[in-house]
Amino acid sequence: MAKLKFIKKLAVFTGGSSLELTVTKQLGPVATSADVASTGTDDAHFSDKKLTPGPAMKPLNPANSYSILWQGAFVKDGSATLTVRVLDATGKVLTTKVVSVAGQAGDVFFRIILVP
Amino acid sequence: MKLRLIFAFFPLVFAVPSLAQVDPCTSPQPADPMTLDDYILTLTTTVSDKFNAANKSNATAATDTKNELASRANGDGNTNNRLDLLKKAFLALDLGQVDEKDGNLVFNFNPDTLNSLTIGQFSPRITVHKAMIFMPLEKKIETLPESVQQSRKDTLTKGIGDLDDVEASIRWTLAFGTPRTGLQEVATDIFDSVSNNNQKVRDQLNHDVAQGAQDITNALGSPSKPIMIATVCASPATKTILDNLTKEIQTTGTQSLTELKKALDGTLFFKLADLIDGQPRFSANGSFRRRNNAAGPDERSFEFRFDMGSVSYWGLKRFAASRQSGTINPAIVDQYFKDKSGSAPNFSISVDYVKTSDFSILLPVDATEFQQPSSRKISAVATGGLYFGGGRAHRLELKANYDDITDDPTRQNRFVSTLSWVEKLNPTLTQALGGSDLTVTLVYANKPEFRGEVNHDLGLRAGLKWSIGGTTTK
Repeated sequence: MAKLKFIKKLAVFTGGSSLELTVTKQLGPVATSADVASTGTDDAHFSDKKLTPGPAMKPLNPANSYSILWQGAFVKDGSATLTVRVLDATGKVLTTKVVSVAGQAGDVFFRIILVP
Repeated sequence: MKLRLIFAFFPLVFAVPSLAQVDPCTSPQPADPMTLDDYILTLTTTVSDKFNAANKSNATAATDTKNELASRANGDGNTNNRLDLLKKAFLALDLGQVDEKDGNLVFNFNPDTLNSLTIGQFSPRITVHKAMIFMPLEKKIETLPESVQQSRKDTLTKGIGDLDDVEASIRWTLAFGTPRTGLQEVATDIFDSVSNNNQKVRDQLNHDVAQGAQDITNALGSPSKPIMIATVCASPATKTILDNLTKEIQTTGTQSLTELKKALDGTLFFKLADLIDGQPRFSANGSFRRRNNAAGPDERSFEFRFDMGSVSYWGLKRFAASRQSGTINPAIVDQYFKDKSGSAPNFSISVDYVKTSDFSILLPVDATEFQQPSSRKISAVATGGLYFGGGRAHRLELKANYDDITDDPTRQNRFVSTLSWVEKLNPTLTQALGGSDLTVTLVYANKPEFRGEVNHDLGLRAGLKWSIGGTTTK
């Protein structure tokens, strides 16, 4: 929680935006993780624990492009939903993307989302 | 009638845009233009779906992604029959999954709103059976002179439509406890350790996609966002980047999934499902099968079932409580599975009721009437198993069966029970005897005529049977 506040403060200080990831699940169990790849050097990895209930956050550098690789696996049938939000320095939501995956027991998956 | 109307309206809902093309620059452009973001997201969906379909033993053509099917439904404008249209519409509307088995189409609905931990899980399904001549009717035709048999069958078959044998059913399952919630934390712990250790391939892929998107943006100058696929395809330079990205996502994406699956297979992650399946649970299945023309009579059935596995979430909780302070973690799950390796496979009891309506139809040409009166069937089955002596080499299996079927003297008030001792043979004996299991079965029936053939008589109603079974490959 303290880290989250720090990232928000950092975003205000740098005037940059930040990325917020949240995962919700139904049935399962289902577990996921998310990797944020940057064309710069500010990659990030978020575990299932950080994504659910979330939000997991990282500051974005406007000079870089980012993509998110979200992967997961289903112990039993269920679904998982990743909500990606980009916030500006004041906390205003600039964009929101919602990606849902329904899977059966034993399934694995990945999705790649380009950060706008 | 209502069922037929529902199916008749499915084909009217085809204004669904196509989504997934492997090469967006050569495929027909969808009505709704696609963005670069959507293309990459959809491509990863397709790669994942294909990977999972290939990993399932019962994978069929029906496991193609819903997007691909929707694309074809929208794109080619030609469909073979109503069933094909129904399948595509069902998938395009995201109502659930469609499976094809032995020529039957099974539409599994996914109503998340009907799932609850307290009232149970409801699974509605519609099965469109491959319609064919009702078996007793076919047998009746086979008693006619051989010269007319085929023409009678052909005439009756022509009169059967592809929706003349449709079954609607709903299954209800109630498991005790909250194993999904309880095991989510364990699943998370296992998954997090695996995902932390298998990063190289997916990091490469993720960076290549981020860089590729950046390169496309740079090559286009200052493109308006979002970047449209049509814009990317219009420039040879950006099209090449897109083609490379597509290949990369397909090959490295599949490799990444293979690594993830393999890494998880090496853990207890997927085995956690046994703890959920093994929870004591009730299930009920009700169905109505409507048949028209020569396809046969209508049928209603109801099944009630109770199951309990050898390992369960409750068992795990008790085990954890006896070992630690009730904490369930991956290490405790591992110990529990090892500890229970020699326990009973499962226990189940089920009661089945089937009511078949009366059926009559005029045979073609000679107008002879085929009639079959209504009937009912009640059956109950109880099964249980037990490993003994440590390990999995020696097993006892109990099965008790009761049937009462109208107009079937061989299955009226019939009770048969068997107790089997199954012994795993060593490799030398397996090779010599041509099977890996020796089974000795004690049979008891309530009437002598129900006992069947035995190797050794123990009276009129009981006997002993033995056999060698299993495989010889292990």
